[in-house]
Amino acid sequence: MPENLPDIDVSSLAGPAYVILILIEIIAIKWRGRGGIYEAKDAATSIFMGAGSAVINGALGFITLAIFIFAYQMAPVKIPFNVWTFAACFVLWDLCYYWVHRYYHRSRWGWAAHVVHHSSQHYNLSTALRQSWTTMWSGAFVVYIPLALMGFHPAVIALCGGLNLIYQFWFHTEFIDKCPKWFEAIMNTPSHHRVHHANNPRYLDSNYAGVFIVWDKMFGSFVPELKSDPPRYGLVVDLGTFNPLRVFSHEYVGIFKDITKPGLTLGQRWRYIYKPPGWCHDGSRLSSSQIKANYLDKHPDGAGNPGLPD
Amino acid sequence: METLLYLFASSVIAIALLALLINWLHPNTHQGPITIETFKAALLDHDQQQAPGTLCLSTDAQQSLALLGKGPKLAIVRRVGDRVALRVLSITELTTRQAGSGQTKVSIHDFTWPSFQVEGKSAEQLAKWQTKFKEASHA
Ligand SMILES: [Zn+2]
Ligand SMILES: [Zn+2]
Repeated sequence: MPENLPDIDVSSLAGPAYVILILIEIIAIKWRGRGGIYEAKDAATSIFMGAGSAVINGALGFITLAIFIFAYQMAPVKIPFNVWTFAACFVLWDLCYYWVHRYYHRSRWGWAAHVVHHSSQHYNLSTALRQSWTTMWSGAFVVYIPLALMGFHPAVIALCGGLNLIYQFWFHTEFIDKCPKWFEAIMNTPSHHRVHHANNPRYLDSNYAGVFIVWDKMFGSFVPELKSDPPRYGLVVDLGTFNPLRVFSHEYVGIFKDITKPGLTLGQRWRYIYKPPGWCHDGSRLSSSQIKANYLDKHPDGAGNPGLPD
Repeated sequence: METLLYLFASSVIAIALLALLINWLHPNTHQGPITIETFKAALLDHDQQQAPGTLCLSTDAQQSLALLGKGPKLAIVRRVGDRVALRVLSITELTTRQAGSGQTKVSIHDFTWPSFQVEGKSAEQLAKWQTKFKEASHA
């Protein structure tokens, strides 16, 4: 670790804070009579998935760390740690996160890991903790390796990753409607991320940002929350269970079933792994673009609106 | 590793306490049998325009089946906490088997959808649909 980098284990600090903030939200919703809904089994599943994720990804963390250290040693220049280089690393991490998150949604292999986070039909602070147990297995860490090759120290990269994840906790709430305009313009907020968790056709595959919503605006995936189309949370095909083992593994089971179907070509089997969720060889399921197109067939006046094709 | 296990154990305790608190402050008021209104709302939410026919309620009343229009498409609505989940499939995709004392166990090819039981009139209705559409598919 660089000498002047504070030795802060952000994840161990965050755990109790998450629980306290969830407690506050549970009480605040009851007190004010608005701003979200909690359900015991749903919240318990979400927090259990979070605890499992912290243990599994924590235990496997040494593998990614070893890869990052190796990449850092290859770096021709080592970037010194100071407030400016830290800020640069934080912003670059968030840019990488945007593309990782887009991959999670646009390739079924990534989706099999990330679907866990979207599997609740509720949207509250506990939903933020519903995290994947197979982050490592998804291969997404590869996208961050260039940061180490650029010369950012692996400890700085890890700190930026931790802080990025912590930032993403607070906006999983319906308790906050909108933030000040300037903040909504630059930062990811509860309103922007509600859209990301919604399964309304117009909201599918939008708002991938972690911290800065500007990436979605730059890369064409931004959709604002509309009062006329309130978000419905969950998956296009919602789960019928709270069993954490099924929640974590169901999409992998789905992939396995698809690639072992008799009579498919090798190309078709491969496409069941890397194509967007919903892709199929026989038209029996719908991908998000087909869902949007079907929606437009029924609501042609929506053509060209944010989140819908022309 | 020790820290991680400690984290996990304390999380389990925190989960239990939070679940108790949520049950107390936000009790689940959606636990009754699935009604036709709930069924229709679930279909509308998923842009399914076809009207459901007679509901077949499961023994625990936590899920309901109905033909869409005249079939052979069928919808199943299941309570998941205070929400519902929906599956639309062909009646021929249901697997049923006798589970003793007039009970029929029903399952679908879905890893996240636990099997359930129907009995009495619901079991008879389901058997009728199956016979009708099996014959139709063989005709
Ligand atoms: Zn996502
Ligand atoms: Zn989220």
